[in-house]
Amino acid sequence: MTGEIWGILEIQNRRLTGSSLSLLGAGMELSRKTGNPVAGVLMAETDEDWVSDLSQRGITKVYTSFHAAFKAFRPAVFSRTVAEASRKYSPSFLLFPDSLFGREVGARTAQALDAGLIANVATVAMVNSQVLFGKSNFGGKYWIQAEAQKLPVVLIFQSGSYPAPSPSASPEFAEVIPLDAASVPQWETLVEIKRTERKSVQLEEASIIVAGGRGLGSPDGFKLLQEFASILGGEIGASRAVVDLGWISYDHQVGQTGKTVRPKLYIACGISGAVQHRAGMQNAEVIVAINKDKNAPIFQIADYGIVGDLYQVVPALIEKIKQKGLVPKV
Amino acid sequence: MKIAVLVKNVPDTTDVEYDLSESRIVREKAPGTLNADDIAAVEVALQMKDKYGAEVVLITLAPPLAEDMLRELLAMGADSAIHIQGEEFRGSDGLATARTLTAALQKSSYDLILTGLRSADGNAGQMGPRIAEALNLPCITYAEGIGEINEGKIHLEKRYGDEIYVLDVTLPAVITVQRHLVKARLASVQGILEAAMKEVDTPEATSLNLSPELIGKSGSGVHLISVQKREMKKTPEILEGEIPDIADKLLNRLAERGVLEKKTG
Repeated sequence: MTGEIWGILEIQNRRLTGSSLSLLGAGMELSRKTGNPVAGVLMAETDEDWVSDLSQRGITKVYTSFHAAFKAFRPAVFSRTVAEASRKYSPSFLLFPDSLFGREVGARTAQALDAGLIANVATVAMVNSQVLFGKSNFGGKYWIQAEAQKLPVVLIFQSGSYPAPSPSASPEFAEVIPLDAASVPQWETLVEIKRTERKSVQLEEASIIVAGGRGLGSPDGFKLLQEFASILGGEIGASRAVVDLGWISYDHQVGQTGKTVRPKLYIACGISGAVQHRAGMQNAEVIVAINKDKNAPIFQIADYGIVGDLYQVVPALIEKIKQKGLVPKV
Repeated sequence: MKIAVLVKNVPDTTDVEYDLSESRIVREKAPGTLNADDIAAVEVALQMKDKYGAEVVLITLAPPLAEDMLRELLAMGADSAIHIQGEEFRGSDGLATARTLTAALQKSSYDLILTGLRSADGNAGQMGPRIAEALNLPCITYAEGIGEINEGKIHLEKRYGDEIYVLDVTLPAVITVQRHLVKARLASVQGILEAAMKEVDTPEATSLNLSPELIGKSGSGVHLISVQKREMKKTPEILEGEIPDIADKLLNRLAERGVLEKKTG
């Protein structure tokens, strides 16, 4: 078992996504445990100096394919490029980012290679020379460890499970190995690309999330939370209950059927904390719960609890933050 | 037009029993529930049936108890079901399940294969893309705005980051949907009566030409090694006092923890 650990990287808006950088951190941890080397895999329309970014982050080998076929997101073009390269170079572990891109391309790649797939991986451990991947299941009620029965295996680490390697001052050089882009039938015709007016919610990459639940009482409550989130430079999250009620769009939903987040600070306002919601946010570094009901299960995982009316507490917090001139610490 | 909908029976999350020797969750003792995203997939298929007169076939790999789930979906209006079952499938991971469902799909020819974006238990979202790859078909995950079918193409939208792709996709295709896309219809009384009479085929591994090493635990790429029930409780610090005092306390704690700092300059 000496094959490489490949980090398949996603590029959006001409930059490496946060979840891609985070998977490199996971790849390096896996490398420390197994001794297998890490390499990056870059597929994009044109080269934009990402290789030097990667080499500064300690990646010394990068497989690259720059081709017009990668311009629009056609998952099979990416997956078959990786699968073909994988047949040629025999990596052991294929790491994909925790994103729509990663899940779709990762699953297609796994099937093309007749490989297993482990999603939502949080930890990697070496036990009696077995490599075990740990993850929580059923809203965090169970902690399971899984092992690949054959290699390669496709792994999707939870975003932020290991810190992204930071760029070093002294750039290193990376070996670059070019790959051919796979040719795939033109199944999809792109009629148009609509840019969404509002920037899409990047909850997975937010360092502060202010989230609202049914305790807001009405959809208007999100206006207050928006003000709160804005002064903190944060994003808005929501429980499934209020998304189901139509108070806010699904891309804000945190939890088992929504997004899994790992911010520095998660402030749950009027969220009771059903196990499915907790599954999506319990790994936040600091959790603050504001709820009228002192028995709300959200308090069981909170670091700081405030039993009270969020419509009194949140405005007071906003005022004090302004007064004290507090900003999020980078 | 013939539409297959892949549906999954998932355990009730409040009571899960694992069997490590078989690398699996025990599914045959409790009836479980229908995976929420899959209900939306069934509804999308039934809307197409209303519009184009499609035949809707449900396909599932599940223990015998899941038949109730299939009858409920047949009562909503699906035409027939394929209920793959047998002990030899126990412990199937995504790879072994994809092989099994692919074998069932290959027994007929479908214009469209629909399924949920992901399942409540596995939560990987791998089945749609895996099936598409196995059958050499396009897969549109997270489909929104599913529109008309014209000249062998389906018009739909897919969100990707800040962009919405408006696509015409060649059929046959695999499409995965998310539970918020549509509201599932309720079964009518007549539907319930008819459901009891509808055909549920129950193929086993041999009739799908699946040899034992391709399915179940032995056909799986991933095995479950350990399971631990987790106690998630923390003891929170409950901040008390007048509201302004509480606000002060919290902001001090957040500064101590390095989350917030005083603006400099």
